[in-house]
Amino acid sequence: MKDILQVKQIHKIYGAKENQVHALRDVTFSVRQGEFIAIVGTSGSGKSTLLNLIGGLDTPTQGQIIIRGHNIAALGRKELTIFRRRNIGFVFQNYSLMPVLNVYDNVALPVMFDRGKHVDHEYICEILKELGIWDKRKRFPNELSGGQQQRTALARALANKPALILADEPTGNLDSATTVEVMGLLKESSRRYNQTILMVTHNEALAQACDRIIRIEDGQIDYTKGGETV
Amino acid sequence: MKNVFRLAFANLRYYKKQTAALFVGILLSAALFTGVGSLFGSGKEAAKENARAEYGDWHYETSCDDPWMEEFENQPEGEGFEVAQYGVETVRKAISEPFAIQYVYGDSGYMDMMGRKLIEGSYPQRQNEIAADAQTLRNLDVPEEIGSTVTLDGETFTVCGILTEMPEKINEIFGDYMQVFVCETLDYGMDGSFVYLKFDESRPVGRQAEAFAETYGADGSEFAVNDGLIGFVGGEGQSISLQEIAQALVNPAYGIPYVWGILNENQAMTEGAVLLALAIFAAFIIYSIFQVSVLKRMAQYSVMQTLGMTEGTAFAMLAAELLMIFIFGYSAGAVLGNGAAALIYRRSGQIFITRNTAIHSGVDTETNAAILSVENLPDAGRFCVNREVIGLGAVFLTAMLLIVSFLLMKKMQKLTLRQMIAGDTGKKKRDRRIYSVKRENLTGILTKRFMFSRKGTFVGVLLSLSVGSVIFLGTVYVTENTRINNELTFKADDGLGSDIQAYEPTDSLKDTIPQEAAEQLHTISSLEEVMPVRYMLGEVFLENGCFQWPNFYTEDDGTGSLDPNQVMMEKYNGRIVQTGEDDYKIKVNIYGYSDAMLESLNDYLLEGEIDPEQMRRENTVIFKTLMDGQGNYDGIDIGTGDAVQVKTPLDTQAEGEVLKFLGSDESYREQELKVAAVVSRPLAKVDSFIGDTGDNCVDLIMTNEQMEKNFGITGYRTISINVKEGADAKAAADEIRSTLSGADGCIVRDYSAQIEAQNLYLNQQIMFFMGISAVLLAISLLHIMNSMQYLVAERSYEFSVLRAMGITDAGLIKMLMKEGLRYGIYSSLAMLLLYSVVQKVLYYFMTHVYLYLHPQGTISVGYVIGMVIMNLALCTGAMVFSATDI
Repeated sequence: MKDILQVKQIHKIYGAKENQVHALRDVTFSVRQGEFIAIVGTSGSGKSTLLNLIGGLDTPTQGQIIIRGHNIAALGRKELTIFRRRNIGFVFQNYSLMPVLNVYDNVALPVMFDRGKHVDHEYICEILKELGIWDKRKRFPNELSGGQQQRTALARALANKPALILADEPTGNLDSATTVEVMGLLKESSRRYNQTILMVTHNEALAQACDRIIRIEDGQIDYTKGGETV
Repeated sequence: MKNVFRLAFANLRYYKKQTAALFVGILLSAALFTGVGSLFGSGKEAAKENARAEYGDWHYETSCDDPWMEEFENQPEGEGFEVAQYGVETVRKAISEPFAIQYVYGDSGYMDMMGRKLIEGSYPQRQNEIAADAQTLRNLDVPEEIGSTVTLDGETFTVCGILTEMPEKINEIFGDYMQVFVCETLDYGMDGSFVYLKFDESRPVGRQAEAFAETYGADGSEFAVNDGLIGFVGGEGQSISLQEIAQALVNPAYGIPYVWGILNENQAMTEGAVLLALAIFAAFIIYSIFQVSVLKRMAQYSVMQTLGMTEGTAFAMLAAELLMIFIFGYSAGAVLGNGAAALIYRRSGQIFITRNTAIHSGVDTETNAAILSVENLPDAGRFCVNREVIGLGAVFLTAMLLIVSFLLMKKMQKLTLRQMIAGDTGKKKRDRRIYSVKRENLTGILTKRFMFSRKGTFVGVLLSLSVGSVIFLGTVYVTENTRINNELTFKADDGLGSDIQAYEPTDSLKDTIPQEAAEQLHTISSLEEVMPVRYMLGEVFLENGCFQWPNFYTEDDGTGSLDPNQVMMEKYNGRIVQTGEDDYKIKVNIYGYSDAMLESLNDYLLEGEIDPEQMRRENTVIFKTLMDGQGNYDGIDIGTGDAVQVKTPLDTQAEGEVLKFLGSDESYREQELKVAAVVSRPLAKVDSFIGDTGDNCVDLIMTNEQMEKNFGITGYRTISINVKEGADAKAAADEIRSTLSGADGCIVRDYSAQIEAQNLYLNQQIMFFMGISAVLLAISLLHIMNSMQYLVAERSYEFSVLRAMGITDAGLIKMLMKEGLRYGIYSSLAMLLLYSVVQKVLYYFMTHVYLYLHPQGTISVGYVIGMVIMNLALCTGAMVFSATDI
């Protein structure tokens, strides 16, 4: 199976001179299509920075991030935006749904940025049904439970059939029962749609449910604790 | 409390942009408010000082031959009053021949209060000495020299001193008389003593006068009042109780104009209303900008509240933030505003001086021209910083800031509560349609939803966006109509529509400027326009209830409380005569105008059409109707197409009894003339017969040819003349004088200097109004920019999520532009809606309270379009500009 993501010798430095912070140092790994990977680390270890760099929300100081053969660090601002919406889906800890749109429109939103009227509504219906929120499609985010909001966010991430879904602590705001439920959905999505998912978490137990774990400590992949484990 | 201030200060330092916006908002508002307040205050102060010079520096006068005077002199202090100065005038004798002259001894207090200073010589020491002013000596035909002698009532006096003139307008209070000052010991046994009182002006003198009368047992109702000065120092103007106000407001005969007129002494209400509007505007702007600032930081406040900050502390912190900026902003604004105001006042201070006396009194030529000349514009005096307005403004705005802080604190509470409720119940009716199924773009829906998600905020933003534009449009509307009114009254009421006027000043129909002489004027090359006017006195029959204001004239006011003008009664048997229950005969001025003048009359058209050719052909006339004190023109039920019955003397040179219209029918002709148009004012008036102030007489206006055809009049009473651009008006006047030298008694007067002076005055006034509008607009612009920035900043997180979802920079800017455009459209609609109400109120006040001539019902569309475009551009621009921060 080919690599869908290659992270090559990534460095990320914030600030300058004495205020300089080396957030990531020489991080290298690759991800294959359909893998569900957990990025684990303590708070401040650099895992969210890594996710932001992979998502094109930030640019590396050094190194390459190649998604589906494109080095996103070399893309211009507009190209990157277009690339991102076509290839990357996001799931945030705080859901980040548009409060003024109902569930259906929230899910369709990133697709509409890209394809206008050529939205695959059948596919959206399918994922809404699959994620168990079809009957909530006309509800607004503030009328949903945390779990339902995160399902909506996941549906939105899936809607564009991206190469990669980046999930930043997707269960951080959820109770344990809902956490299990959402994890199940992520895993099921990965399996059913052969979807590659990179999930940042500090919860070791959740990480264990993933196909592979990448441990990060002090901005580096911690090989002493196994580095990348499957 | 120290920590509250520390935190508040830290907030101010951290949120520099917001602090700066608030500071500039307060600075400009304070500058405008305090600057205008000082301009009004300086104008009022100048008017007060002018009144002091014109009427004397006293408030009340009363006879003091009573025993209380001794008590007062022994103990001049009492509870409730403080006499700042008093003076006693003892009238030793009064004679009426050769003029009304009083022999007066005045103590030093009196002389000082009346400004009677010795120019030359000394005060009379001997019984055969007098001192007088130069004017009195001239009238008595006595050389203005010490040692001259004059015989009065058989006694010869030597002039020992020459004094400055008596206060110019004191005769308006005590009637026409002259004074000669005599020595203290001269006594004819007919003394009358009068005390002039000046109270402490730092508190209302009216109440002090009451306390004074009560303390000494003097009869307060006998006090003569210095009407010129009293209004400025809290004297008893016309007072009106709340009950009377309520009654007047429901009575159509009185209404708002009556109440306003009474309360608006010395323009107090007008200026107060302007200042109040500016203060409210300032408070509104501060609220609006600060609200934006606080809402941006709402999350922080809620965190602090979570950490244990009480509501009281939240209020204290908000108030502390505002007050800290306010102290600096208001102080700097007061300095800036007063600095600018001082410059404006130095250049055009005269426009701020309260004018209680109407200057529009018709073209009675010399007197009026003198009043209107630049030299006679009142002395602006020096600029005074109005500490009272600065203080009151500071107190008012501080109170408003505390209220603002309180409201925002409440809003913080309410928001949290509302959010909770919304989260829990979700019962609110919402539009649940799925838009993505039918649309290819959701950004439009997103912006719309964002705008309407909080309707209260949306309405608030719209209101705050539109209020500045509304005030600007309102100011422009008033300015525009003030300009029109000034121009129209200038031409009609002041009679200054032309550079030069030649006229016969007498009250004899015989005296006219011969037609041939008038035609000679066309040969003078420097003249642009020559507009001769023919005149005839007539009487119009108003029958069968046609005259609907039977109490309009004192001759027939129905109460008998007002005496008709005696001269008018004697010469013309009054202006109006009742001949039946609903029938009247009214004296009218009949004018013949040139075609050019008739064209100009279009500016005063109330109904109908002015077509000189048609008037000549059909012998129709223009009916100049009456205007009442509330600006209504419906006193006479005569309109276009109606016929008026006119009676005129057969003899074009009729005199005496004939002009009373009481003679036999053979002396008159009667004819019916059809009305082609109704106008509000005449031009080129003749006021030497029954008078014509422009609004108090009925006039019939026709072409000069009709005057000849109908009445056989060929001579002219007045000729209005305009000189060519750049021509020397003085030289032209001389040439006209020489051309008309054959016309007996004809006076030629050059008004070009007065016209120039008044134009200058009016232009300065308009410039001032426009300046105020510009500052208001600048404040509004700042506010719009700030509000738009807030709208973007408030949703910066949502925008960043949208970016993560893949919206491009161009897409985001397009989306924000759409939103800005929508805000521009909605705020323009709100502006139009609000402004239509404001305009109606302003129109009412201009028409019925300030009696503006022909105010426009609507503002020029250009201004509205301009404001709409500005709104659209600003809202869109500000949104896009704010997007760069995301």
